[in-house]
Amino acid sequence: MSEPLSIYALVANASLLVQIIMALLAAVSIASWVMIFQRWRALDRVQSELNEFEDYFWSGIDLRELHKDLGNDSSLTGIETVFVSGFTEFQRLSEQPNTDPDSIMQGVQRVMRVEVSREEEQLEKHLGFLATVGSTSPYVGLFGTVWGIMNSFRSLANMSQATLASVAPGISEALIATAMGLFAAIPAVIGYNRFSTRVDVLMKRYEAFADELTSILFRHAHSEKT
Amino acid sequence: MGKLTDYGLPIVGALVLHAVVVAMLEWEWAPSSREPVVVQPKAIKAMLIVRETRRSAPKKKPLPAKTNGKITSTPPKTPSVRNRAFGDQDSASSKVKETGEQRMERERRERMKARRQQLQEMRRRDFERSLTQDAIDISVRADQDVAQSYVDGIYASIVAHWSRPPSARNEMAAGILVELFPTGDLNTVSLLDSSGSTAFDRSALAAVRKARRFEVPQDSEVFEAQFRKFRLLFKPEDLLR
Repeated sequence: MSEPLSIYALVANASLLVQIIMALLAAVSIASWVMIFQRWRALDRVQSELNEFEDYFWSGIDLRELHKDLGNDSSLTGIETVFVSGFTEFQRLSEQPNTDPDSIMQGVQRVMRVEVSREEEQLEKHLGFLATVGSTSPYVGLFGTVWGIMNSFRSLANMSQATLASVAPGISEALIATAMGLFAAIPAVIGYNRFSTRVDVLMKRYEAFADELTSILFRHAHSEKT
Repeated sequence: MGKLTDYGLPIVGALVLHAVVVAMLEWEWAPSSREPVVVQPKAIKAMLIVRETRRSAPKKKPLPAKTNGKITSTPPKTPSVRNRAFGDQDSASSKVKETGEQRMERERRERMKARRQQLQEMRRRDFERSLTQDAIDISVRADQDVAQSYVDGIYASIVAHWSRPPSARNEMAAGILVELFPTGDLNTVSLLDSSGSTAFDRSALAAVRKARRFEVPQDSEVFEAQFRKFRLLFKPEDLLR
């Protein structure tokens, strides 16, 4: 009776399926925290780069110079790729003879849209995983609990005297699965919500930048043609 | 973009976080496992045990005081002194008397001393005996208490399993003989005195069989004395009829 009811003993005594579920949930929890930390850093970096680039862009620098600078840079990030691809497309199209400004601008817009959506894809990486963990791991944990309680009641049926002491450890170890499921799910849900709003904000800024660049290039195209 | 270096720090962070959580859980969990588990008697009976002082010991106490009084109250010297003061004729006889008295007094004193020693010895022995008797008394009483608590537990479990037939009446009484194994498991149960109603007898036997297992003392002496074989009297007293 004096067996210490430590958490290790509880986990070790659980049935195989419950143990598998616990291991799965532990792995998922670790993975989701890896994603959370990674996204956190990545989004912070993207945001600071965006701020830096916008400051630089609006400081009145010549766009050709800026393009030349960035063209030599091999490691372009987020907003820079949008600018470079848009500007490259603009130069290439305007060098071709007999192209009207509207078709140039259409080409530039298309290229930049592609680039922005590619960036969005980058930013939203792993968010799907977090959403899945947040919505399913409570159910997985609950499944482990139900299974464990089922087993402990079934073994109770073989006993002559049904005491609380014979059921309680089984239920206790089964409930660990639910606790782990919730432990994995809560940070994942919070992380998902927080990061998806941040990605939305960043995407709006990207699109706004793309529109502004388009209008600048549009002005150029028209002034060059006329 | 260095993919692996990108994930290195998050992986370390996540692992550290989980390690901290597990460590905190373990730390939080520790006190509950340290609880002492003391479960012995099923039913506890409170009883005040007063340690009585033996009456024989104080009885003997006044005796030495009495003997002392005897010694002081009969000082043999004073008459001899008085005799000497009265005259010379008596002096010889008085002297003889004196020596005789002195001798007698010495003898008496020695006798007294011996007696006092004897008394002391007796008293000490008596006190020791009373002490050990007290100890035995207490242990016997403790045994009885333990046994009583188990008896109460057995009663409780049998009563819980006893369902009386509707034909039961208050004046019915069925005597049952129960034999147990030292583990507390039921060995045999048999009817000693029938109540007159077979349904009632059967319900009594069934109650014991259903209880099946009883808490019995671990002490084999107590078990053999009171629990190996015992009689139970089934007698409903709370019925209306």
